[in-house]
Amino acid sequence: MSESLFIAELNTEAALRSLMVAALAGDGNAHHALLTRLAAKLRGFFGRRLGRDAADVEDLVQEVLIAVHTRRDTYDPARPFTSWVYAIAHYKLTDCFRRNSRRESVSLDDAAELFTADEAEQQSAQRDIAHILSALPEAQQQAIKLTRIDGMSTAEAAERCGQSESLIKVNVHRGMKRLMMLYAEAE
Amino acid sequence: MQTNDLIKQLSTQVTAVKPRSFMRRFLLAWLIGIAAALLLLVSTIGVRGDLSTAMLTVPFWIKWLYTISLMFVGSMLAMYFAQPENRSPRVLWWLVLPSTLLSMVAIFDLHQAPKESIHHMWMGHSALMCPWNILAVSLPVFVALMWMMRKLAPTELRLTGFAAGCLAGASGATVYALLCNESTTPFILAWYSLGMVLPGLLGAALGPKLLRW
Repeated sequence: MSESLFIAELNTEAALRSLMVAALAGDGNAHHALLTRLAAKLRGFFGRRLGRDAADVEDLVQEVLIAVHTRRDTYDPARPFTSWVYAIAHYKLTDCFRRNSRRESVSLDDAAELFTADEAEQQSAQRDIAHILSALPEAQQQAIKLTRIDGMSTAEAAERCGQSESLIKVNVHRGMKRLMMLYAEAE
Repeated sequence: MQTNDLIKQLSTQVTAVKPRSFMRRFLLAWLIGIAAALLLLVSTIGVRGDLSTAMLTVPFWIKWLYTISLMFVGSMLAMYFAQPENRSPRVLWWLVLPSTLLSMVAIFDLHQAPKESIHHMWMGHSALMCPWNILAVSLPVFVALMWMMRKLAPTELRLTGFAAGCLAGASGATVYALLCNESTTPFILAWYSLGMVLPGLLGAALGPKLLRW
C-alpha cells in the first residue's frame, strides 16, 4: 500500500470511528452520516464480488446497515471500527454465498480493501501494471514486481524467487530498460 | 425499500448505547438460564440431603472450583465470539487449563490411594448417569445462551456454539454438584468433563443453524 493510500485509510478509520462514537452517544445526525458513508463503501465492496446483480448487492448493503444499527453494542471503541464493520460485511457475504450454495470462498486478507480511497482506480492501476509487465520474460517480471512494487530489498527478493542477488539486480535493470524502450516506441 | 429511506428510518430515533453493553445483555440471559436450571433440579430430584454439611468439605469445593473456573473461561470465550471481528479458534485452548490443573490433583490422589479403591475412584456409583444428568440440567442454560448469542454478532457460528455450549455445560455442572455426592477427583475429571463437553458438542453441531443472523 502506498503512503498516501495508507494515510487515506487511517483518515477513513478516524472519521468513521468518531461518527460511530457519536452515534453510540445518541447523535442521530452522526448515525445518519455514518450509515450513508458505509452504504457507499459497502455497495462497492459487494458489487465487485457479486458482479452486476444489483438487487442482491442492495439487499446485502441493507442487511449490513441494519446489523450495524441493531448490533452496535458489540462494538468496542478501543478497537478499530473498520475491522468491526468489515467482519460484519464479510459474514453477510459468506452467508449470501452459502444461501446461494455457490462454492466461492472469500479471503479475509482484504479487510483493508473495503476502505481504500478510490477502489476502481486502484484496481485498474494494478491491472495496468500487470499488463505492462507481461511484455517481459518471467524472471524480469518477477524481479521488478518484488523489488519495485512489493517493496522488498534485493536480498529478500532473491530469497523469495530463488534468483541470486546479482541476478535480481541485472534482471531489474534489463527489465526496466526494456520497458522504457517499449514505451518510447509506443509514444 | 430504498436504502436511503432505510437509513433515514434507522437514524430517526437513535437511543444512546453504552459501548460493549452487550456484555450486560449476555450476563442477564446467562443468569436466567442458571436460575431455570436450578429450578429444574430442585423441582425434579432435589438437592442432596446433606448439602449444608457437604458444603463445608474439600471435595465439594474442588468440584465447584473446577466447574466455576470453567464457567469463567466459558463466559469469556462466549463474549469473545459475540464480537464479529473475533474469530480465532486458538482461544478455545483456555478451556484446557482447568482440566489440566484438576488432572494433576487427580494423579496425585490416585498415587496416594490403595490399589483396591482405584476403580471406585474413577467410577464412583453414578458414572454412567452423571454426564447425562449434567447435559439435562444444562439445557435451560443452553437455550438461554443460544437465544442471546444470535442477537449479538458472532461470525464463527460453530466455534461460538461450542463455546456457549461448554459454558452451558459448566453452569449445568455447577448446579448439578448440589445434588451429586461423588467426592473423588478422578471421577470429577472424567465424568464432569464429559458432561460439560456434551453440550459443547451439541452447540458446535447446531451453531450454524441456531445462531445464524
